[in-house]
Amino acid sequence: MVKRSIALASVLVVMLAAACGRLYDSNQRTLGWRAPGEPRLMSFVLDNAVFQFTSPTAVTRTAIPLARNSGSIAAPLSAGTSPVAQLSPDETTLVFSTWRYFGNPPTAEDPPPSTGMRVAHPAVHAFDLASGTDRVFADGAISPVVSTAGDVAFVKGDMPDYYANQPFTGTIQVQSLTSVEPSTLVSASDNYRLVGWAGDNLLYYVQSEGEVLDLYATSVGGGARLLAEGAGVIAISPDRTSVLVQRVGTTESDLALIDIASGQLLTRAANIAAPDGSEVGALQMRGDWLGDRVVASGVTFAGIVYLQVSDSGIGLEGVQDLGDAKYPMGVEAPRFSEDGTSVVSQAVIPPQTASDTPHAEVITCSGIESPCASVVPEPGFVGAAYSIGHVE
Amino acid sequence: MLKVTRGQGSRAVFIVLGLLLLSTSTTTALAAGRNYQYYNGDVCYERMLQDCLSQSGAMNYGTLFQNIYGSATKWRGGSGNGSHDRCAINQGPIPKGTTSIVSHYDNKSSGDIRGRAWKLGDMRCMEDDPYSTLRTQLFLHTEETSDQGQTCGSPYDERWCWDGPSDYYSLGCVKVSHSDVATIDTKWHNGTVNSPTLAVDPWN
Repeated sequence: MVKRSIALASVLVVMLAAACGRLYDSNQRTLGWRAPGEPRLMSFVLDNAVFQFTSPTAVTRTAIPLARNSGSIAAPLSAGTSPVAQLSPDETTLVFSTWRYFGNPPTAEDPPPSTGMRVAHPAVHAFDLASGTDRVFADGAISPVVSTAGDVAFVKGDMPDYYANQPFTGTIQVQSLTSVEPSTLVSASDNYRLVGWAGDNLLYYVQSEGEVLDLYATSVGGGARLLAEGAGVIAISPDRTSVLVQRVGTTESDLALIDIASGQLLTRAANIAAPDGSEVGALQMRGDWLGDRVVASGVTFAGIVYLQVSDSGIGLEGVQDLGDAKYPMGVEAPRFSEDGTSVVSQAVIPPQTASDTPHAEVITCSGIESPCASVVPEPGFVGAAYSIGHVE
Repeated sequence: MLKVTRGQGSRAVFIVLGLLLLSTSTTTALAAGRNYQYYNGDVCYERMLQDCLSQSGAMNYGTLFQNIYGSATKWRGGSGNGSHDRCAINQGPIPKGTTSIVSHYDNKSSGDIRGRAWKLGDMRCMEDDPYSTLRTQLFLHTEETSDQGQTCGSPYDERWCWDGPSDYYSLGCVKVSHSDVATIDTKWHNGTVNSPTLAVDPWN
C-alpha cells in the first residue's frame, strides 16, 4: 500500500513537471520551486500536499505520501515561531514537522484534555523530492530549521510525546541531511523554539510563562548568547549578520536591529508613523528581508508594512492596507518575490455566513499602490497554509 | 514582559470570560462554540468589537460588563496586544473555547506574573482544526504584586499596578482588573467555582 502511494505520488510529480515544464532542471533531479522573477514563496504545504504557483492566481497540488503512521504535516507546538516546512538548499529535500494524535484528532466539541494526558507525537520528516519517499528524520522532535550547509537543527524532546498542558522541553540538536547521528548543540533542557540559521549561527527562542520569548544565538562550540529579551524576530538580514526584532509586549512599533555576532544594538526605531501621521503599530513576526527592504504584517490592521533597514537606521517605505473587512484575521508571513517587485502573503478567511466555511487564501501584491491578486488553493480547507521556507 | 503599553490608533481586543460556576450543560454549551463569528447585521466580529463599542456611543468600559453580560459568572478580560490573529503566539488574543485551569496561585512571586493567577490549559488557536497552533503557558491574572498589592505612583505604566483599561492588553494571557481578580479569587476559594475550566467567549 505504501509502495503504491509512493508510486502514485511519483507519477503525480512527473505529470506536474510535464505540465508546468519547469519543475525539473535539465538533469531531471531537482524540483525547481520557483523560476527567476517569480515569487520566492512559490510553494506551501496544506493538507499534506505541496501547492505550487504556476501564476499569481493559479496553483498546482502534489500530495506528499507520508511515512506510515505519521499523522499530518503540522507543527502545533512551533508553527508560531518556526517554519513548518523548509526546502533544503540544494532543493532536493523537503524538511517538515508532523503531528500524530494518539486516538482520534480532537474536535471543538471535545472537552479539554486532562493535564498530563499523553496527547500526540511530534516528529521531523525528510521528504526526498526526486524519489517521492518520506522518512522520519528525527523522532519526538519539533521545530526543524535547515542551514545553507544542509544541516538541520531541531528540538529533541526530553520525552518523545506531547502531554497536555506541559511544556515540550528538550535539547537543541543538529544533524546533516546525509548523516544518521545528531550532535547536541545546546545540552541544557528548556522550552526552545528555533527561528532559523544565520550563517553559522542558530537563532532560537526560549519560551517562558505568558508566552514570553527571549531570543538567543548559538553556534557549534560557541555557547548561547542572549540577543534580546521579550522580542520576536521579523527577519534576518540577507548577509546573515543582523536580525530585526519587534519588542513584544507593546502595541506600538518598537524595532531593533541587532548584530548577531556581538549582540550589540545597531539601530532602533519606535512609534513608526505612516505619511498621514498615523502610527503603524506593532509588527508581526515572520516577515522577509531583501536588499535593504523589509516587509512585515501589521498587528492591528490587515496589511503589509514596507521598511527600509540599514545599520544606520530604520525607516518606513509605505503601508499597504488590504482591508479588515476582507481579511478580518489579518494577513501574515509576507515574502518578497525574487526581484522584489511583488510580495506574497497568506490569510485565513473566516466564514461570512453561518453556512460558510473558513479557508486559506494566498495574496500577491505587486507594489504598494497596486491592487493585489488572491487565490484560494484548497476551497473549504479549514486550516492555515504553511509556507515553505527557502534556505539561501 | 507582560506589561503592554497602548499606542494611538491601536485597538483593544476584549473578551468576556467566565469561570464556570454552573452545571455541566453550561460548560458543554460554551465549549461547542465555533472559532468564528459571522456578520449578520447585528453581530460584530470580534475584531470589530472596539468599532462596535464606538458606534454604540454610550458604552464604555464599565457598562460593557453591566449592559451586555451583567452576569455574576462573567468578567471583562483583555487578551493580546491588539492582534486579531489567535494563532499568533506572543501577540494574538487567547483562542475562543473552553480550557482547563491547571493550577492556581495566591501569591505568585516569580516571573512577570505576580500575585493571584490561574495557569490555563493549552488551547488550539482554531477549535475546529486539531492541527492548528497550540497556545501554551497562558495565565489569567491581573497586575499586582506577589502579596496582592499595587506598586503605583510612577507616571509611567507599571508592571504590578493596574493603571486602567490599557492594562487589559497582554501577550496572550487573559488579564482582568485588580478589583475583578479579587472577586474571582474569592469565588474560587469559596468553592462556588466547581468546574475548573475557563470559557473564553469573545462576542456572541
